[in-house]
Amino acid sequence: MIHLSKDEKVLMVLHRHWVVILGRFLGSILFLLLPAALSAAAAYFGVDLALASPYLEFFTSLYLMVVMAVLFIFWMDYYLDVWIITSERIIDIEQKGLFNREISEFMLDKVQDVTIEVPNMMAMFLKYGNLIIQTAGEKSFSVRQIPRFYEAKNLILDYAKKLIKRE
Amino acid sequence: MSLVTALLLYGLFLGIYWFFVLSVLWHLREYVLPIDYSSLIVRGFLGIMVLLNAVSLFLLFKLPLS
Repeated sequence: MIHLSKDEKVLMVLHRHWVVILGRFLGSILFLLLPAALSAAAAYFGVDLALASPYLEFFTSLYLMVVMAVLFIFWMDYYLDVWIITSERIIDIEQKGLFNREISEFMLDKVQDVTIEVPNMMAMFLKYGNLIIQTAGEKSFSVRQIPRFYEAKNLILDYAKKLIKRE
Repeated sequence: MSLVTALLLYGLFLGIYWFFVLSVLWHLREYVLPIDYSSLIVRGFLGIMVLLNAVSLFLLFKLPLS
């Protein structure tokens, strides 16, 4: 769980743009439709499946369960790659597969430079981009393929300025 | 194949299957944010998976096993 300090508030929560998960989802939907397509193909070519029918139905239901679970894991992987901008810090949570997760965070007053990138034509049309944040430490943070990146940049810089002034 | 063997194999499959699904739920419970559409999506996924599970159980008992 994420613990916020007393005066800290969540300003923005960013997930990757939906286009990132679209390819995986479409692939999984094709796999979901595969049994129906095979059944239609068997009917078209006149293959009689009546004898094997109970087994086919049973294994199809197991197959659909597995595809649904894979789809669920894909969605979780997408959903848990999240950047939370609070009034004091940025929290970067990256889910790597099912059992591996990396969480890093840095204070907004350590922000020195924010760069935004629109990497290609598709990103330009679908309005997503990369945000690269240089901090006072050696590590730079990059947030890839996010929507509302201009808004995020302005928010980070505004709150970084406020915190530096307060100091 | 006998019904008992089929049930054992099916139970093993379900054990592994729900282990993975519950692992996903554990991750989500840990980091889900309250003001979000995600709980609806999770319920949708779980609903479909439980339904498919019930259908597969029903179909298992329809198999011509000794």
